[in-house]
This record gives sequence, structure tokens and C-alpha cells, in this order.
Amino acid sequence: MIWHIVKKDFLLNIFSARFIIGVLLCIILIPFTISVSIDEYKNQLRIYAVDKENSEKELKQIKVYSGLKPELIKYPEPLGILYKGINQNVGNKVKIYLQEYPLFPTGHASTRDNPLLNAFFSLDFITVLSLVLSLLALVFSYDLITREHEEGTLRLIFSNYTGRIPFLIGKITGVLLSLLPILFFCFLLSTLFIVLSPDIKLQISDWIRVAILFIFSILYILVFILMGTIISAFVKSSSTAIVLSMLCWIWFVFLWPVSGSYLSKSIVKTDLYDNVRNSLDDLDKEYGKLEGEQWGAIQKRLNMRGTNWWNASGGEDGYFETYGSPSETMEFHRQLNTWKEPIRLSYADRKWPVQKAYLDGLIRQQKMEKNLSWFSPSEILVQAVSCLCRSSEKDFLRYMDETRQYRETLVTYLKDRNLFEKYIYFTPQDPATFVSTADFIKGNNNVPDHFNTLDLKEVPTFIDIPAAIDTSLKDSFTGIAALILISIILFSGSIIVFNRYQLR
Amino acid sequence: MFSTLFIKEIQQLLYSFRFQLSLIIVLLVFTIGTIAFIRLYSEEKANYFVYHKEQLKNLEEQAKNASHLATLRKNYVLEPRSNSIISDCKEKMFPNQFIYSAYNVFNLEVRHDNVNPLLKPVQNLSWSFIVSVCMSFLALLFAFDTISGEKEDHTLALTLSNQISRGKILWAKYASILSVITATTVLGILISILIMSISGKILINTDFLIETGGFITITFLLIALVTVFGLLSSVFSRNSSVSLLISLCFWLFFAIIIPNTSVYWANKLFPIEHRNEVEAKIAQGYEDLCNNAPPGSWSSSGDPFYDRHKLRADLQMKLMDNEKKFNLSYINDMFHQFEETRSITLLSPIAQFDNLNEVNLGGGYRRLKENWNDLQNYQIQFLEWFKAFDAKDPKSPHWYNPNESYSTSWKSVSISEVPVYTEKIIPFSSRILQSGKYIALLLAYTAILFFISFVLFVKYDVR
Amino acid sequence: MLQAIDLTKRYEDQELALDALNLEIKEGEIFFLLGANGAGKTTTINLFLNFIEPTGGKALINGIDVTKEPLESKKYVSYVSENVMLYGNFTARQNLDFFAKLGGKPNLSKEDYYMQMREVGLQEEAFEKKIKTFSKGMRQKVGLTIAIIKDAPNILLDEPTAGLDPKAAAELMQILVNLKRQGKSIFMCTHDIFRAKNIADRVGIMKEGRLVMVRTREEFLEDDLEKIYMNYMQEMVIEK
Repeated sequence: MIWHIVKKDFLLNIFSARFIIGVLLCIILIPFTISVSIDEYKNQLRIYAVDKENSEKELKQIKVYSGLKPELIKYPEPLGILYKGINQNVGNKVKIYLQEYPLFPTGHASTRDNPLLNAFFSLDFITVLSLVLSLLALVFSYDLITREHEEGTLRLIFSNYTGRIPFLIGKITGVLLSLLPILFFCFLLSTLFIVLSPDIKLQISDWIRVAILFIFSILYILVFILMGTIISAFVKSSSTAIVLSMLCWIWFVFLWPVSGSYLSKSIVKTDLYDNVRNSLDDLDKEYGKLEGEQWGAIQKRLNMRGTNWWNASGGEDGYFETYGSPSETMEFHRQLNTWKEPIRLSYADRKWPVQKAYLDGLIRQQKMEKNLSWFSPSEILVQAVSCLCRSSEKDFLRYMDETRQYRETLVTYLKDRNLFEKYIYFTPQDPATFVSTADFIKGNNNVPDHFNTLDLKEVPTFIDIPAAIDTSLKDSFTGIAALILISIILFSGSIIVFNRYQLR
Repeated sequence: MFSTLFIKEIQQLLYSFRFQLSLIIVLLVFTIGTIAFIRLYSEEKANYFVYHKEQLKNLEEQAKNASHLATLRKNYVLEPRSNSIISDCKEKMFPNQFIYSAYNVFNLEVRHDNVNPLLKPVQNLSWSFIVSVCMSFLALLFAFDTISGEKEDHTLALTLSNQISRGKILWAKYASILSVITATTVLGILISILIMSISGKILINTDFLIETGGFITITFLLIALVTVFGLLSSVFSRNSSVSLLISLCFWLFFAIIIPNTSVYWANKLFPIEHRNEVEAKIAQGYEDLCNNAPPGSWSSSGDPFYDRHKLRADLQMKLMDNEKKFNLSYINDMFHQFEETRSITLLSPIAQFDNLNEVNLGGGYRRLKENWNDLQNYQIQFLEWFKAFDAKDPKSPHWYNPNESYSTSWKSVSISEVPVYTEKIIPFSSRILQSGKYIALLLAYTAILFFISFVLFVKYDVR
Repeated sequence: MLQAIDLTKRYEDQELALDALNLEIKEGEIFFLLGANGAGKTTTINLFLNFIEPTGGKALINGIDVTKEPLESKKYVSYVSENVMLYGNFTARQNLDFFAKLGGKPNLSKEDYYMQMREVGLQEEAFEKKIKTFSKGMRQKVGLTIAIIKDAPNILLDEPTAGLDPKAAAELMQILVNLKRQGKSIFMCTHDIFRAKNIADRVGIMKEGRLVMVRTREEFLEDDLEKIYMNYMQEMVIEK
């Protein structure tokens, strides 16, 4: 019985104007959307290659351990083509410093090369789907019942051995089935674009993710079909139903997401990063004073009148390199490093709570946005999808945790080998060839000016472990559970409303 | 006769369920938007003043040495606009910080002061957002079945059986929807202004009220056009559900499809170099200049008159010019790419509406470019001032080095003598002049479409 | 067999739509229910189809109480409505196919549908045409075909001749007579006294929710049915 209704509705819908318009909309929207996303992804790949090359080149040229500041470059997420998510807000580079924990990446965010073009929005695939499919779902379902009522067929159907619930299930399934070809077509079109781009390689696990995305989208469509159904069962005429449906659409898909996000910004205040930076700088200054004092103390201890350098260079985060300087200076620096690197690390530990408090504020604001988004199915979908496409804030925070863990590993490595206390920490020169201060003043400091670079094979490297499918599914669980719950509520609601529907 | 029709239409609309529900939504959105705006804006403003004070302190520090003042790079950050409740003109997405010294205006950047990267980038819930998304949609929703719906109810034939011309009917329907939507918007705006004035945190002055008036005019023009689209789809079909689909397609086409394709057109039709290519060129030029520089170009001494400082200043000047050459042309390319792309999006009335808002408020891209150009002029003035100041100092060799202070005056300077850059507010007269073209475009669009609807309606089968 | 026992319907607004209707329509009988607009004719049909719940009494179809077993009862009844639009984008045959399946006849072939449509007098070229191109008479014939195909022992018709031209109406009546011969109970609400006179076995007149008169064929052929009807209607006007 249900099956006959499903088949009838499917056939009626498939040959209707709305179906054709739906397909046309997708044909127009998807290619532009996907090709812009693919272009942007290629740009990211290009930038990744350039950055990676630079960072590796830099690492290869290191001659002393104080210069070891690995720069981690994040590989652009291929599924970001479907949904950019947080990746469009944050950069791709994290440099590991001893004096500070990494908080946010720097460098090229996946925004456009020309920052002016950011004023033009380009929706990603999932956003387009969430807009168009919800609209189509409502356009297909608003007259689910009213139309049959208006054409008199509802009475005719119920003069047969047909229950109301099977009828409703049949109609809903019919609409869902008629929207599936459109959904499938959208996915097909976009994956075709991806497959045909030579530079983009998706893993098998990525394809599984795309398949799960497809299932999520079906669930999403179902929510809107049920919304249309309940409206259709609630009102008497199709014209009221369509107006109500469209108002629901604009509210749930456009107005509420923007309102919610805007509201969350004004409800939860976050600290200004400038203030955070100032507190961090204050700590740096405090440390600077300590270092100055220590400088004098060590010189006193070593009975030095001043420090002489031959070839010396310095840089950020305690990088200092010298050769040919007198042995006294070398010893001075060794002792200074032995004292200062642990202190700098402890300062990083003191800075972290400040950074963490700032980060927590941002997370609180984001949580508020998320909580407000429970009122909009399209936002719920987008959040679930962002977990699947590894472009959610959870993925980002995990990545930053990993980089901080990597920093710890690196610090342990340096500490375990007592590298802070060794000459190689700041000079490539063999200690046996250090010149005495007397010789240095005389000018007898014949040292080679070519040194080997460090062998960094044993230095731990950073391995980015993107979230596995089960983690992503766990992340997106609440979203999906919410969509299922909404569907159940709407379905029971429509049954209740339809059971009261007047057939006369 | 017309007034009878018009009043009937208005009454019908006001009693209708769709109007009542829409009214609630519109008022809700206006209220949420205003309350959130007040908090965010006062926060932004406070942040800006803190930042501005910091900048002034830095400047005073630099002024202890005139050369530092001239060579150190400074930031000019655009102040948050108090009229951004009307429209933020996408300023959040544009660069808002200029980097300059007395020698050059280097670059424009996006300064994220309190942007939370964990949030999705969304538009502000400003008046213009509400109008361009919500009101335009509602106008279509009110208009899509004006004709086809009456045909289905058979009231159209009944009306036409009287001595009324079809033109009058169309006019009455059009005017009624237009006035209801505009009145709803104005009501929302009034509530918004009321909330703002009660809060006391937003200054509401004559300029603001004039801009509000301008905004209402622009809104009226947009709604007039969108409503015609609704009428057109209504006379296009004998079936109101088909009319709805046509209306939705119009809306999606203008609000989503055209804006959404603009980046595609920008990349395909007006491609520009990649940033890292430009950087590579600058680096190449830098290397060449350094390699070909006469020996001693990098030497320095505590004595300003050390003669290699002249070489050094020469090299630094060349290095800056090298960077400036590539960077400036790159920035001009960016401007060009943006402008060309935007002219394509003008096909969409919503893009025209956004442009008109930009003109009306003197914000957005216009403000950015105006400031960029003004800052170039200011920089020339600043440099002239510095040179004049330097010329008076006998302890300076007057070898201008744009990056370092070795060979120019080290005298301290009183900050009040230094020319200051202030943003010019675009005068209303030029705003009106600039808006003429867009208004004409919108009106022409509306008139043509109304004429088409009229012709179709005259031929409309009312049976 | 259709039975109404003290069947009463009072709407939420306290309006009495049907007042204790007692009626029985046997196999092979055609019953015509006459009455003004709003007299309660359609309410009666709605009650038989359980589209509305009675506030008193019961309606039985082949002895099955429609409120107790609404689905079961529908196996034994077909319904033809005043103005059925059907699915405009389906052809006549597709519409028949769908409703035949709903009516518990899933195994019919194209030919079966064609035959039935030929029988009700639809033109051959209309069979595979979309319903939205059909005239009202043609649609009504398709509606009747749906009822015939279901082959239920009882048929409820709600003013099926309204808006039909005389020829089409006459054809429809002929079909009903044929159905009667097959032993169907036929219950038809109408304003059409002329048709009632022609083919009804019994005629009832309904006024303000009450069945005020029932006459058998012999009885109403003696008197002039039109006169009887007008008398009852006039009383109503006077009462008011």
C-alpha cells in the first residue's frame, strides 16, 4: 500500500516543473562553487609547496641547536574543497619556539590571494547544498497534503483501505525519493570535478567520508520534508502552506544562523588579543631584565672585562651563533645558555595560562554560537559536516594540541642530550679549536669559516595525524543525533496533526 | 477607483497571515540586530581608542628622534563607523590597516582586533543585510501570487467584470505591496533607532538621520524592483505554484548565484599574479641591488657624516623603490581586479543595492580606496615636512635613508609640528552625484520590467 | 448494504448537521438523497467514509461499524466525489492504476483499464492523455471508473452530475443502472430530481440535518416528485 503511494508521488514529482528547476539550479550552482573551491585548494597546495620548501631549506642550513626552530606547515585539507570551515580563518604555519607555546598558526589562511576579493562570498559545496536542498525539500513537501485535499484525491484515497499513517509515510518517502536524484546528481557533479582535477588526490578514507556526507545530507533533506509535511498538515490551503514554508526557510537558513552568530559575539565577550600580547610582552621584559643581571653575574664569575665576538649572529627566540670568538666568550655563552634556556622554558609555562585564558574565551564564544545554532537544522548539518571534512574547530584545536605536544617532545630531546649546556648549542666550531682571549686580541684566530650543518636525523619530527573516521564521527555525533531527534519530533508531530486533519 | 482598489489590496495584505508572521520576523530580526550591534560597536570603539592611544604614545616615543619618526613604519587603522548599523559595507572583510612611513605607503592589511577565528565569518545583522535578504524575499513572497492567485480564486474575473482597466489593477497591487514592505522596513528602522537612542551608546545626529533617509530611499528602490519581479512571475504563469518557483529562481539568481560566481569570474576573466610571485620578484630585485651595490654600502658608524652612509642611504633608497614598484603595481592590480569583478555583479539588483549603500555611507571599498589615495598624498607632505626639518639641522648630512636613521637629523621634534593624517569624510554632495548612476540603473530596470508585466497582464487569460 | 442507525453529527459550533438518521440501502438498490445546500447530504457521506466522527449512532457498511473498523469497512465501499481533480500530470490510465492498487486490485493490466474506460464511454484517445487536459465530464467518468474497478458492493456518490451536460449525465446514470444490476448498493446525493425520477429505487429528502421523507419508486411516481420536493422546501422557508 505504502509502496503505491511512494511510486505515485515519485512519478508525479519527477515530471514536475519543480524537479526540473531544482536540477537546473544545481547545474548552475555546483560547477561554479566547486571550481572556485578547487582553484582555492590548488592555490593552497602551491603555497604549501613553497612554504614547505622554505621551511626544509631553513632546517637544512642550521649549524647550531639554538637555531632549531622547526616550522610546521599544515597540509591543506582536501575535503576542505567541500567545506572550508575554520581553515579559512587560520593560517598554515606554526613555528616552534622555546619561549612560547604555539597558540594560533600564522601565514597564509586559505583565503584568497587578493584580500579585496574576500568581500565577495563564495559558498562552498555543503553550504550550497544546505541552501538549495532545504528549499527544494520545502517546495516539494509544502503541498503534500493540502494539494491532495484541494484536488479531491485525498477523500478518494481515504475511501479505500488506506490508513493515515501509511499514507503519510508513503508521501514522505515519495518526496524523499524524488529529491535523491537531485542530491545524487550534486554529489556526482562535484566529485567528477574533483576526480578530473589532476592535482587533487583523495584517499579511500576520504571517499568514505564523502559517502557519509551523502547520508547526512539525506537526513538533512528529511528534516525539511518533515517540516513541510507538518506545515501542510497544519494549514488548510496550499497558498498558506507555501508562504509559511518559505518563511521557515528564510528564518532557519538565513536569518537565524546570522542572528545567532552575531548574538553570540555580543553575549560572550572575549579579551582583545592586543591585551594578551601586552601581558606576554611584559613577561618577556621581565625575563630580559633577569637575563641582563645574569649576564653581569656570569661575566663576574668568569672574570671577564667584556665580551669579544668574532663572527656572531642572533635572531628570534634565543637564536645565537658565533665562531672564531675567544674561548672565554664561548664559555660565557655556554654558561649563559645553561642558565637561560630552562628559565625561558619556565617563562613559556608562565605565559601559557594567559594564552589559555584567551583561548578559553574564544572557545566559550564559539560554544555559545554552537548552542544557538541548535535552532537551525542547516547549522547543525554544517557543524556535523565540518567534523567530517576535518575543518571543524575541534580538528583545529586538536592540531594545535599536537603542535604543543611536539614542542614538548622537542624540548625533552634537547634536555635529554643536555644540549643547552653544550657548545654546539651556539657554535659550530670544535671546542678544541677555540682561540684563547690573548690570541684573539693579537688577531691569531685562524678558524675555518665553513662548518657542517647539523645532522638532525634523530631530532623528533612532527607528524600531523588528522582525525580518523571514528573520531570525526564521534565529533559529529551530537549534530547527527540532533537531526535524527528533530526528524522524530517532526514526524510524530505531523502524525498527530494529520490525524486531526479534517477530510470534509 | 484606484484608491478603492489600493485600499482593498492594503487591507487584504494587512489581514493576511503571511504579513502578520512576516512582521513578527522582521521586527525580531531588527531588534536582535540592533541590540547585538550596540554591544559590539561600543566594544570595537573602546578597543579602537585604546589602540589609538597606544599609537600616539609610540609616536611620541619616535619623535625623540626625527629620523626614527620618519623611517619607522606606522599603522593607520580605520575607525569603526558609527553608521555601520545601516550597512557595514563588508568592511570587516576588507583590509583596514595601512602601513606607512614618511618615505612610503607600504601596504594594506587586515587587522583582526577582536575577530574570533573559531567563529564562522558571517555578515553583520545590519539594516542592509535585513533588507537585502529578508525584505527582498518577503516582497517576492507577497507578490508572487497577486495575479495568479486571484485567478485561481476567480476573483480576478469578477473584478475585471467591472469598469476598471487592467493597468489600474496592476498599479494598485504593485503600489500596495511596495508600500506595505517599505512601511514594515521603516517600522523596523524606527524600532532600531529607538533602541539605540535608549541605550545612549550610539550617537544619533543629523548626519545619521540624513543617511537613514538615504537608506530608506535606496530600500524603496530595491523593493520596487524586487516587487516587479514578483509581479512579473505572477503574470507569467496561470498557476501560482509555478509563479512561486519563478520568483524563487529570480531571488536565488540575484542573491546567491551572481554573487557566488564573482570569485570565479575574478579568477578566470581578470587574473592577477600570485602574491608569492610578486614577493619572489621583490626578493630577486633585492638580491640584484645588493650584489651590484658598491662595496661599503652596508657599512655604518656612529658618525652621521661617515661617508659610506651616503652609499648606504643610496642602496636603501633603491631597495625601497624596488619593493615599492612591485608592490604598488600589485596593489593596483588588486584594486583593478576587484572593480572589474564588481562591475559584473552589478547585474544583480542586490549588488546595486550594496553599492548604493556604500555610496550613501561613504564606507567599504570606496572608503578604503579613498584613504589609500589620500595617504599617498599625505606621505608626500610628510616627507616634505621631514626634509624641511632635516634641512634646518646642521648636524645632519641630509642623505635620505628610508629605512635607517644613520644620516638624517636626530633632533627631537614636538609632535604637534608633525603633519597628521586624518580621514576625510566624503561630502554628501559627492555621494549624491556618485549614486546617480546606480539609481538610474535601478529605475530603468524597474520601469522595463513593469512595462513587460503590464503587457503580459493585458494579454493575461483571466478565465 | 449501507446502514445508518440514529446517525447524528453535531459540529464543534453546536450546529446540528445530521439528526438521528435511520436508513438502510439494500443490495441492488439505488437510493437518491435530495436536499438543499447544507441540508446534511455530504455530511452523511462523510460519516459513512469515517471522514468525520459521529456524535451519536453508527454507520454500518456491510454490517461493519465504520468508526470501530474504519479501514476494514472501506474494503466494501467506493466513492465518487462531486468534483475530483485527480492527478493532473498523470494520464487517465496512470490514475486508474494508482487507485486500483489502493483499492486492492494490484494485478490489473492496461487492457483491463482500457476496457473499463471504454465501458463508461471514454474516448479511446483519452486513455493515455494527461488528466489536466480533461473536461469535467471526462474527469467524472474516470472517477466513476475508479469506483467500478474497485468493485466494492457499495458506492457513494456525492453530486456526481453537478456541472455535467445532460448527455454526460445521462450516460453516468446508465452506468449506475448497470451497477445496480450487478447487485451494488448505490447511495447518491444530488439536486437532480429529474435523474432521481428516472432511476432511483427510493428517494429521500433531507432538510436541516433531518431525513424528512422517504418514498419508494412506486410512491413517488404516483405523486409528482418535483411537487413533493418543492413542498418540503417551502415549508422550510415558512418555518424560518
